[in-house]
Amino acid sequence: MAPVSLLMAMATGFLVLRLSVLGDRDTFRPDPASVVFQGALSFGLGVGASSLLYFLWLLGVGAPGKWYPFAEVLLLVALAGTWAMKIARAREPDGAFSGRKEEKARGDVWSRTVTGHFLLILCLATAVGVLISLNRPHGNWDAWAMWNMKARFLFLGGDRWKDLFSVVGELHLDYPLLLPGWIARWWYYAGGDGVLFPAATSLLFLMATAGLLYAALASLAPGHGGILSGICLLGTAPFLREGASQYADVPLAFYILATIVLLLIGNRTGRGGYRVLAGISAGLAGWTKNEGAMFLLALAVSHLAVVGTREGIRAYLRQAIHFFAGLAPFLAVLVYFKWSFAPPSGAVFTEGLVATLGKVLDTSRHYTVLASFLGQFYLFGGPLYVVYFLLAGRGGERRDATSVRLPVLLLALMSVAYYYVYLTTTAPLEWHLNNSLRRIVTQMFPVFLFAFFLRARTPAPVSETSIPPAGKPRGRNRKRGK
Amino acid sequence: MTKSTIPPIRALVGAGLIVLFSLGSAVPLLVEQYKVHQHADPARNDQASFFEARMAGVRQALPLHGTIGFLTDVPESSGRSAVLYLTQYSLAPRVVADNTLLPLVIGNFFSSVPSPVLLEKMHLRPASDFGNGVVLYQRSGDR
Repeated sequence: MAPVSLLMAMATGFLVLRLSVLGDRDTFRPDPASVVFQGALSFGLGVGASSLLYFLWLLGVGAPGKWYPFAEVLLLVALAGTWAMKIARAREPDGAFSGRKEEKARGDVWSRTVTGHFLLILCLATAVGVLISLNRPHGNWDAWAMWNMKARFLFLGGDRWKDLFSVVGELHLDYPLLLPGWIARWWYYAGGDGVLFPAATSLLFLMATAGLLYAALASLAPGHGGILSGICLLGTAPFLREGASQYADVPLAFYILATIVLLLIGNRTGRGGYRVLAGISAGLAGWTKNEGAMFLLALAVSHLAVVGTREGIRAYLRQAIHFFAGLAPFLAVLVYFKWSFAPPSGAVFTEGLVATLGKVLDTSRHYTVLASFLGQFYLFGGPLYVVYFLLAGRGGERRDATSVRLPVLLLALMSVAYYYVYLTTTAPLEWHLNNSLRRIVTQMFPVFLFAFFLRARTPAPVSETSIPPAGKPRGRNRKRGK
Repeated sequence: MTKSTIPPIRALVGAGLIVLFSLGSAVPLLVEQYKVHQHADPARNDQASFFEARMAGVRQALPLHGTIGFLTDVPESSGRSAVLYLTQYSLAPRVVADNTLLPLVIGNFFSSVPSPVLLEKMHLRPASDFGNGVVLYQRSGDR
């Protein structure tokens, strides 16, 4: 039953995706990048929706009994029925998203080489993930101490699942429940709390993140940015380690990346449905980890700055309404959770103004934080990207330069915010940096790669000449083109 | 439309660096994890697996819900918190409270069990000994 329940969740995600952007045939075309794009998003949206449904069921009904699967099936049938009805009624407009057609460069030696290497790295990453899972079946510290422990309460606790909030407070009881809810749901269908399911969840999110990054760049950017970014992501040891550790950082990285990708596709196509999906994804980021709230704040500011200054406040508000429509239900659950269950979490603003100011003015703390940031920059291959950019230079089109502003500003804001958090932390500084900075970088790394390969030149495949000019989608798409 | 292509040599060098970096980063990690896998038993090497095996007996004996106390001989400087958290993980969905004032108290000892005199002072008496230093205590007067 466990594999079927995974497929049910993915089907839910798939239907949410298709219903949101009904008729976009360009995005949903039958080529590998599009299939991977849909698969990765279906997985992420499905996990999020299932986790939330499980939590709401616990909240409203109690321990999931024999009726719970009917609720999920009912949701699935309702979504499928709505989709079928809409398809039958609507004369589907052609999609306006001028994503690049599949680049037929199979005869190109370079293409074959880089694709072959991507497959090799994919195999290596899978082997590493499986070995790490075998060596630490319950995951690393935070995995068992927080996520899997909470999942046990949600699954084994029955009607007394709220006992979870009576355990020792050091186990971050304020963290939201996307992963525990999903794992508990999977255990429910599997009929036991086996270690396979958290480990599989971890690896699936790792692969979904790589898949989404590859597919988004393959659709949005020229050249081999998609494949190169996939190689970079799965070929970076710290990211791989985090990806297999059963932590929530790679799932959060997935939702952050999905939000940015969907917003950019929404901007290119002018379809509000993508912005609704971006809102859903941002809401799921908030439901994954407390750092998701930091992401939401940084995204709100950067989105306003980029869209508001370029397209005006009215255009921004129109986009923001779509985005908020997707975000609102998840934000409501998150606020309810924080209000009703989560104890206060205090890493910032708890020492008073004088003590905080003292830390801000302490140059040794600046040095320690900067050194740690630079250390992570090196570990995640930062110098490689500097050298690559110096060698290859900028590429893409004018609209890529515009598109890249949102993720770059977002990353800059998040980096500054985290810098301040570390600078003023009430925890011992070195301990705090050593225990969390790598995970923070993990959360931002896929978006960094996305922005980098959206803008950096990559070796162009043979069919590059077929790409239409920016802003002028061809043929039937022209009417809706933006 | 024909797009200009980047100078092949610079592109290839850049991409070649990415290929080398990915191999240089992922392969050592694979080798490291393979060695760990070959030479280590997760039940000993992995703390959580070790505690899962250690607490299996008491998990069967305890009711599924409720709060139990906690007692250990591990000092804070040697990882007392870790023992508490691992005990909590292994016994979830029971709540493990960091005190000995509850009707049932789980003892998790690694070098020595408390003396009868100390137990007397804490009003605890052994209810079941599950071996390996895992003892379930009952508070005197509580049933």
